[in-house]
Amino acid sequence: MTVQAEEFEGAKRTLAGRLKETPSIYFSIAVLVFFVLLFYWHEPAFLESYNLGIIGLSAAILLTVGIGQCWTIVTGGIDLSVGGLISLVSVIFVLTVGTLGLWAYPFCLLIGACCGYINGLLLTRIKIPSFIATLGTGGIFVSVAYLITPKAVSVPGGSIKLLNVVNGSTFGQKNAILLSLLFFLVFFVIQYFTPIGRNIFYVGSNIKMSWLSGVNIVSTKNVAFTFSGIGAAAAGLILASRQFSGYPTIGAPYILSSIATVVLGGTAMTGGAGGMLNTLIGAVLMSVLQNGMTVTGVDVYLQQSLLGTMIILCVWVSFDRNKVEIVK
Amino acid sequence: MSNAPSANPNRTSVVLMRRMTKRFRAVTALDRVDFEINPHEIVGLVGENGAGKSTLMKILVGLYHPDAGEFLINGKAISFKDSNDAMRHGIGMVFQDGCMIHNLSILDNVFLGHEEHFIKYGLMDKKRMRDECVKILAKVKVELDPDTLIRNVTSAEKQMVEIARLLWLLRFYGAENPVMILDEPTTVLQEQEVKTLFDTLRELKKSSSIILISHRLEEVIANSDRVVIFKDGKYIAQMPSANADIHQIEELMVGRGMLGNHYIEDKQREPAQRFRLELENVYKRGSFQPLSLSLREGEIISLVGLIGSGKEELCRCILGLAHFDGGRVLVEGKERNFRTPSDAIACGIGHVPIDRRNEGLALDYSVVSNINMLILRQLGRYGLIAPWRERENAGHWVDEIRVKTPSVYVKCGNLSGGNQQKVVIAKWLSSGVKILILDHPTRGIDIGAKEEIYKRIRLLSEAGMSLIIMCDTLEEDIGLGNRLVIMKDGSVTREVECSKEAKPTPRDIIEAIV
Amino acid sequence: MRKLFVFMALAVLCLTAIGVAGEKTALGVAIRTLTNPYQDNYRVGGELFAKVSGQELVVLTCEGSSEKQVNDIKSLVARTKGDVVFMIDPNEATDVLPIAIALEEAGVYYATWWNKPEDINAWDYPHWVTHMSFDGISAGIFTATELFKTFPTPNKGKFIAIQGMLSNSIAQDRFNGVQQALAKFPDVQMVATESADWDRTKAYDKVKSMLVANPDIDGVWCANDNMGLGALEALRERGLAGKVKVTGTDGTDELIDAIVKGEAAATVYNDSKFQAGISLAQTLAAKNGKLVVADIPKEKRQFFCSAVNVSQANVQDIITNYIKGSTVYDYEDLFGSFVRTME
Repeated sequence: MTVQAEEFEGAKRTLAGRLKETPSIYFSIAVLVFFVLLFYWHEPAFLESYNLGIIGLSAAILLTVGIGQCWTIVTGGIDLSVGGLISLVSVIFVLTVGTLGLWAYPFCLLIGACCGYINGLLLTRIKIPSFIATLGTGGIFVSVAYLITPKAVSVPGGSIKLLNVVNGSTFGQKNAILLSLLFFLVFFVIQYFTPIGRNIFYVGSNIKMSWLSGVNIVSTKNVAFTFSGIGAAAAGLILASRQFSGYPTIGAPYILSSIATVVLGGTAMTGGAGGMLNTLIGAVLMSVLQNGMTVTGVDVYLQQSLLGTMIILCVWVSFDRNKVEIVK
Repeated sequence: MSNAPSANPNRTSVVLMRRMTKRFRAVTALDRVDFEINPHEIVGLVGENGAGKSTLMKILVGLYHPDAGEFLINGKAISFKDSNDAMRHGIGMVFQDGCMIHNLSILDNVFLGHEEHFIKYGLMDKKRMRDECVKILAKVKVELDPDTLIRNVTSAEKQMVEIARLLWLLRFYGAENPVMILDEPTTVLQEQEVKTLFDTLRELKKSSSIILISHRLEEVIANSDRVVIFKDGKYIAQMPSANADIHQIEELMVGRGMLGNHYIEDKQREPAQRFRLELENVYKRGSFQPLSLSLREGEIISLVGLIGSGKEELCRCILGLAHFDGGRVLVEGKERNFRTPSDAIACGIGHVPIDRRNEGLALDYSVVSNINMLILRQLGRYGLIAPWRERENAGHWVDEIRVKTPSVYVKCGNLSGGNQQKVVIAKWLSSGVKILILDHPTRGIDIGAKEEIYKRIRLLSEAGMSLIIMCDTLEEDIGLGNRLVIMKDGSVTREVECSKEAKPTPRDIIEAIV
Repeated sequence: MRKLFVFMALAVLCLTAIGVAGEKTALGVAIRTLTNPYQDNYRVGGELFAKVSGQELVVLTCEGSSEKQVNDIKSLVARTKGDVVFMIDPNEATDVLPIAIALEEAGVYYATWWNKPEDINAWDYPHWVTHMSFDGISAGIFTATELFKTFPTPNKGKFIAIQGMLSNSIAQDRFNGVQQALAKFPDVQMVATESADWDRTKAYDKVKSMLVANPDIDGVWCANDNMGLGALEALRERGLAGKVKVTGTDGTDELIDAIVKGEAAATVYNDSKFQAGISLAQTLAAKNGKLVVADIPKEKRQFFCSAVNVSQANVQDIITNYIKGSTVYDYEDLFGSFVRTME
């Protein structure tokens, strides 16, 4: 029985009440639009297609690693191994693309999935908190990469053509961007239209209730971490292809920036809220901020602190603090 | 029943509130309420959820500030900054479970934040603290070692410790006649413990005043000196408890009669012959001895017993949350073995938990998400969920169960308790379970909504659903059940038939329970 | 809602710090970080040149992210609409390729420093003016020769050598220099050599144990300053500091101090102010047409250049001129520091 809003206790008709009900994603979008306009007003070149291409490319990598990270955060965990995995994948990819050819792409995704699955098993079977488990595996991935090659390796000259999977263009759009959107789409469909995707959110929102409702917590978390591995591997592939090389610390910056991307989009670190669309906004926002500061000529000494301030401000605006009383 | 309370000129009220008003944006939570507390009395405060009881109490302890009205303490006008301020003026509240740190001892908890008063030579004088603590605990008749960890004491003892601590604090701040507020103190207690609690309160009354808030009207009438009734943010009436009548109070609270056929006994029907669930000599070491139980199609079994009687553990085993150590479980004639809740669900056994906010619902998600949670796999094709089928299914159940919500996309956290409970029930019904275990289905729900839940239980049974219920009160158990199964100390002591023509009285069966 | 307004106000406030791009050609200096003195001196060198040439300096730091470096370089191109030249110290040697591709596409002149993949050559890229690196061989020769001079009997005695990471070509070059110096002084003997991977602690451990077998050495040659300081620590424990001298390469403050105190013989100062200035001078000349890249002889497109030699003799001079003060660099002689070509 549907009833009029007046009869309904929870309905708030004031503007403030409505804003409180507004999903955090709208705030993230508002912040994004605001920054785009601000940068454009300051420097019209910001919206020229050449610059949009730069933003798109860096957003593509943040997006692929972010969508994986997103699910682990939604389940209430975190994946700190993405940086190590990106590095490992970049090294393996560069070294195998000569022999495996195009098969190196799916091969590396498979490696990512396996590494992610191992993270999941450490969490669900050996019951090590994800923060510690992935910190450990992240270190292991980096050392394996170091054991394979301590210094940067380049894609062999003969195989550079194969990198067109990422570096080329289709329908006038850069493949790297299209690929990341493809990954996004797959993750999006899984999140919204499959039971496992829904379960990831239920587990994050209320793990006890999920268990009592027959949700398989173990497999749900394993899936989340496996996909985090796939996302990181995809990011590693795009990164290695763009850079024509791989080395054991190439992924290090992405540990924190992937988390920042997820949180900027409005996904709560406490789990259960947020999702793919948020991460898309977060990735674009993050690269707009990074690129915008260079394009508008912010002093290099200020850039880091300004980026940090922006992240704090964005989270302040978009994060739904009604949900949690104590923020960890 | 008299009119609004007036200050007796012969004595000073400890607390006197006049025309208290509190608004939250458009909603007036308290509308010109008068309220008075005299020394040495227990005041029972009753009203439905949303009647304004807790708003008034929050003003009393300084958590809210009134928009208008007079507030006098011992005859002096006052306005509290915060709850500490209220404490200094001798008013404090006992919270149900919230304020204790579980891995600290009783002693540590009692003096938490006030250790500096026991400092001798720069160190804490443990011996003096211990002595003091034992003295404090003796006042509330708790004979526990002060070094016991809070985690290891029962909820009843915990509550007593809270009361003791509050009393100590208020005295510590120099209150001659402290005022303590107890909000639903008996929900977590056993009957015996309830008795102890009220004995203690009567003892404490000699030197303090107590405000008792409870849904259990019998308790309030039996244990208070005066009952004050609120409705919709307004003061309605007050009466001395000695000549209070429960039906009259209920009528005043709800604004309509609630006599007879309370549990819709006339709709009770005889169960079919077919067995839904048969337990044969199941047992679990340390919880319950081998017992057998059978549940028929359309039958309602009331599982009755104190906490520790084994009834909770039995239900947990049936639901796959714990495991039987032996015996056979037959569901519709087939032997089954449950390892996890999902096994039980696959066999058509559902569970409406006591703590619906934490165990029954994803409060951040919409009604549609919650209702469809168990059947996502059936709502689409090729592993993909069809949103329109989700909406259809949820809409169907919202209509069927009469969940009051403006749309199926509203967050469950924004619904009232009764409607949340309906969503939990809808969730299980939509998954097609045949057996439903209802764990205190009406807890914390106001009287109007309770009635609807009773009606729903009858309809379910009519439709052939088999139910096991555990209720808040014995009356409810008797009123709703086809059969009472009474457990005590881990075994079934009696089974009592409860046909609608011949309901036993609580007195008939109480000795089988305790 | 109030939150949103406060936020916007704050953001606008933050971004008023933004400098407005002028009509000048931008001088891009793309480096790793500003948190260490060597890297920060790139900025100082860039500023010196900007003052001389009258252009605007823009420093881009990548903080260890190769991708950020490429993106920032491209972003600066976007901002200046191509009116920019770059001096680049790549985050990783392999990053040279994506940077080259991006800048060739934009038609922007650039010069790189230190390392690059062997199969990628500047002369294949029309806008890549030069790739330079300090010469390891001449550094090795200089420091070894200076060390030999400090022996009790000059140019006669025994020493041990601590090498850098053996797989690094720069480590090989510097050690090659030592061997060339050895060939010139037949009375000097290298009694032992080991690698300490550029690491201070490792050098300390290695030297300590080498001293057990060779207590009577007259000097310790080290391939960089870090290892030199580690070696000095080991000598100090044996009471040999000051008597037996060490050497380094890089020109860190700490080792230059040791030279002043007489505990170290020599180092080679890698002057990043010079690096930034000369590269910007070369690229700006190319952009203004004063230098035609296609006409630069192939051996000068990628080459090893000389750094600043520091020994007991000139250490005070170096401190006043290079480290504390600012030398006046000659930005006209674009290839004056050329030592040998890079194959």
